[in-house]
Amino acid sequence: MPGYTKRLGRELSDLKTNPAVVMDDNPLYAGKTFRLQFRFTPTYPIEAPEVQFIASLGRGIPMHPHIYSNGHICLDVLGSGWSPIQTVGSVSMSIQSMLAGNDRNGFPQRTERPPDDARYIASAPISPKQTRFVYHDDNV
Amino acid sequence: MDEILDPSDWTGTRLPTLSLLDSSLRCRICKDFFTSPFMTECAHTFCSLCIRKCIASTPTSETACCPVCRAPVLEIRLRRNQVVEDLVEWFENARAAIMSVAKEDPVVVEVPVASTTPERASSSERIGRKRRRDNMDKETSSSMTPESGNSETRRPTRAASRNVSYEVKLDIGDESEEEAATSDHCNNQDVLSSVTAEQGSSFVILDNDDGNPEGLVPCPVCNVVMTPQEVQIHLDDCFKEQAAKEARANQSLISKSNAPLRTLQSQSLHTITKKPLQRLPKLQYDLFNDTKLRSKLAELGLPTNGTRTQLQQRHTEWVSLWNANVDSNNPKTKKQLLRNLNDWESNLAKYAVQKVSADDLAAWGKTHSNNFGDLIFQARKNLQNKSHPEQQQGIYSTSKSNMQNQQLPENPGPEKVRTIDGIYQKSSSAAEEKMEYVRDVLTEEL
Repeated sequence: MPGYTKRLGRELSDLKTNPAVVMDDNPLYAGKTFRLQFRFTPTYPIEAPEVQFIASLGRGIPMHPHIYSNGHICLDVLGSGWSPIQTVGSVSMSIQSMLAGNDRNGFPQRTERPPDDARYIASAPISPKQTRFVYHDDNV
Repeated sequence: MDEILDPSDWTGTRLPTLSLLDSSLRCRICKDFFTSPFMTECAHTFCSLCIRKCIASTPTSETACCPVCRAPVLEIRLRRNQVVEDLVEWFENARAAIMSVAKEDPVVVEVPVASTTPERASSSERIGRKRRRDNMDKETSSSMTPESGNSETRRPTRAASRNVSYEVKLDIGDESEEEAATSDHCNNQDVLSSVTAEQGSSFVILDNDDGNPEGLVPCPVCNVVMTPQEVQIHLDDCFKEQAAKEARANQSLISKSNAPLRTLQSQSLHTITKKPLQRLPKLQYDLFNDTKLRSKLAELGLPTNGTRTQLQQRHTEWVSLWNANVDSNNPKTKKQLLRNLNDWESNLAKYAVQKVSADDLAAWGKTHSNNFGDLIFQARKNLQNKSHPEQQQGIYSTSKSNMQNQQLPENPGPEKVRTIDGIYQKSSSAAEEKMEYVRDVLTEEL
């Protein structure tokens, strides 16, 4: 059994016992359910997994200035900020706190996609890991 | 699939706090118990292989950082953490036993625990103390022998003190009997006698110095009292005999009682003769062209097929595997390591095949063009039937990812981008925006 399957098995059992849930008090996303897709390489956990939102029936892609409409997430822990000690749980927590921290609710024109969304999704690779994200705005 | 042991195993047992111990004895990279733990300069510990792979995965050695605190890490500064290694070994050995105790029915064990534990502890302590004393006795007796064999300078005085006490009491002048007495002392390494001799030595010698009558002098080697002239003649023979006796005593002691000493010696000899494994250096791949790199791999006994990146990856992985194996207390054979390398590579290859097929957008579009046609057909129907927005919404959400990934790359003209931007500014709610977007794409397509 390769090392990464063992580690993933452990993470799964850990997630079952303590699910990584952050209090969602942000009215933008309250009561909504989103689906995240994790894809692991054989080099996990040395390399980061591919993580993106998946749209399906009843599951949209959350509106956020760091989330592209194709589900790609611009978050440093998924790219350059990855560290092998992070887990599926910790990544989910980071994404949840990123959503919870979106305070642009009062400005409809600013609750939207990243400024370069249209351009990005026009030529986006399937894997978000092949994109070199520019982190435009650290305030959100 | 073998059982996955996890710190969460302790929750729900009688010893839930052990999960903290369990988790702190695990590498935070592989989440398994440490195997040959190594410590970084920032005092974080990881498995040798984990941290080496982690460092090797960074593009340059300067960018390597500690996975926990992101402090810079240099591979040559990693140090073995022996205490942690021992802790892991003992904990792993005891884990199953502790677990079975912890999982016992708490109701049954609760009552005796309060009353008997102190007793049990004290008795075990007593046993421990006793054992310790025994060990000490053994240690002193065994440590005495090599010392007496090695330290030429101290031994005579100690033997002297014993001899002198013997001498003074018995006052026998016969040499042969003296010899027998000393040899008796040497072989009979009684702890008690040695202790008393040590304690009383100074007095005895003093006695001896003061109480030598008629200008007699003790032999500096065997301490037999005689006239100075006799000592001159006696000394040479005495030295020889003494040396022979010591050699004999050492030999017999080693063969008789000092089995551990022997194994120690043979072990050290073994390691010396076996020649320790050497760590492999990292390569600056820019300095090697393909053929040189291939010959380097061949030198190491690795496969030399594949592209340049494969060669580099293979070499990096091998260096990590090899160096971690050098750190291990139970190193694997090269064959096993090669098998590990092969497993790693086949895993990577499997993944690469999947990835390429997924990345090949054009091919993917071709194979799914039928689905695509269906979608267009359905969307066209929906356009005609505008009175049911829910239906349109449903179709959009199922087909959305296809639309974006496929249609847009086919016509990434500037006009299109502009229209989409326009829509973005126009639409206020997300649902409306999505619908308009679909409509726009479809009208262009038609």
